[in-house]
Amino acid sequence: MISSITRRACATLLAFTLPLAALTPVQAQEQNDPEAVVRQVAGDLLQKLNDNGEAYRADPALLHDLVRNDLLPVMDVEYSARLILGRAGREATDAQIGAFADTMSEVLIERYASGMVEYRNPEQLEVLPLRGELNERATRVRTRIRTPNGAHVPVDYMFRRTPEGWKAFDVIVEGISYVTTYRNQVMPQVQADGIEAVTARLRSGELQLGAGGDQG
Amino acid sequence: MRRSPFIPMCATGRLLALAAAVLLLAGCAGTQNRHTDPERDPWEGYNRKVHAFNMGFDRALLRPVARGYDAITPDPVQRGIGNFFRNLNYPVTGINLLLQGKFGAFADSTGRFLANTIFGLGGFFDVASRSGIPEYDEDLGQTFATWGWEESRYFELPFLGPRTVRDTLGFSFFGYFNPVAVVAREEGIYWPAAVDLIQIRASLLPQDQAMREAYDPYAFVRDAWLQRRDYLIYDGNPPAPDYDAYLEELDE
Repeated sequence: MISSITRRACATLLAFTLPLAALTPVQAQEQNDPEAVVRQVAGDLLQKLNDNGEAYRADPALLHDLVRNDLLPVMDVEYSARLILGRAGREATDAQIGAFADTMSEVLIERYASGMVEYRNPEQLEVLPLRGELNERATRVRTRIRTPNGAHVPVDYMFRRTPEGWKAFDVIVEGISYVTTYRNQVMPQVQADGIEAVTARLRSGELQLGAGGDQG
Repeated sequence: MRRSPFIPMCATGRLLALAAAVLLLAGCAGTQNRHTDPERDPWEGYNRKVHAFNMGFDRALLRPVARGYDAITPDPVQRGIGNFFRNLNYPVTGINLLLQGKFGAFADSTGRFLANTIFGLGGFFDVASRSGIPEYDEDLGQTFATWGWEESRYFELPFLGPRTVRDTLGFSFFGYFNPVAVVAREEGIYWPAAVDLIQIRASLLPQDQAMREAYDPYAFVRDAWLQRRDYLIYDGNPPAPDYDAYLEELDE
């Protein structure tokens, strides 16, 4: 239990570091399958951190930009937002959902960036082969991240096909899905106070998304 | 989840906890007012009350003690203590691997237990992991699940924390034979149980902030725990969440 918990602690932390880190450059993902995107982008991002770690540690804004520029193009934040909102989003307009999704992604990027400083070795990421789960619409890319104490943390990315190529919409760390976990956190609030109030809370930092481990 | 923090409790303690559970259950039947997950958590009203009780106990006693321990105990020592208790309980994983018909894994688990007990100074050092022997995580609740009892309602117990009905039964059975529980019960020696518990709680400290920040900490813990159980039951390959169902709600 202890190792599983420690591993989960690391996992939570890592979930906000490498994972989404793993997804990116716009050009790359157009022609590649999701597995290749993860492999290439994660390696690339970790390499940058490896080479310029000091600069990024010294300037959080720089790191933040790096993460945002790399990740956003391969994330389908609006789809994630719709999954998280569920029936609570039924009456929301597209603009409201878009604003919620943007705010949510900023919160997540902030966390990824702050957690990522710790991890910079490209060899820490291992992308496992797809196991027949690739279909036309969605697929799951499995990776394992080696933590500094030698444990392996499984981190899976759910991708879906969009008109702009494959994009990730969920991260599953040791079986714990962010979408599933946020749903029960966000839905009741939206039902009680409305989507705009919840978006405002997220933006002001009054509402945290909870899963940031000790990195927040 | 491999072991409850409170498994080492003495039999009386466990009976008391059970009694308290029954009383609470009786006391708050019909007081449910929230249903955030009617399917898996039909007893949410009861569960929330027990959760509040557990959090109170944690805030007042367990967490402060664990923080103190964490502050004065170097990480390698904490790891060693954690390894020791985990190794003590590892035969339970082995037995459950057998019960699930995973014979190859059973051989590995036996090797791991012997290696860590003999060469790891009684389990303090996890030499097995260093030599690449895979680690498994099994318990009777997971065995029940592989035998077909897949869905079980969420059931939080006083002191013991998150469970399902299935896992309550599963953990109780082997918890009784846990060496730490045995010395407490038979010899009246409680400090190993206390150390075990404090170490487990200390290892959870990094999760505290996430829980505190959650809008609904109860649901946050429950959802994470249930997903984590599925992950263990499916040996690391649980089915993906039913995203389509999440979306269908939109079209209802």
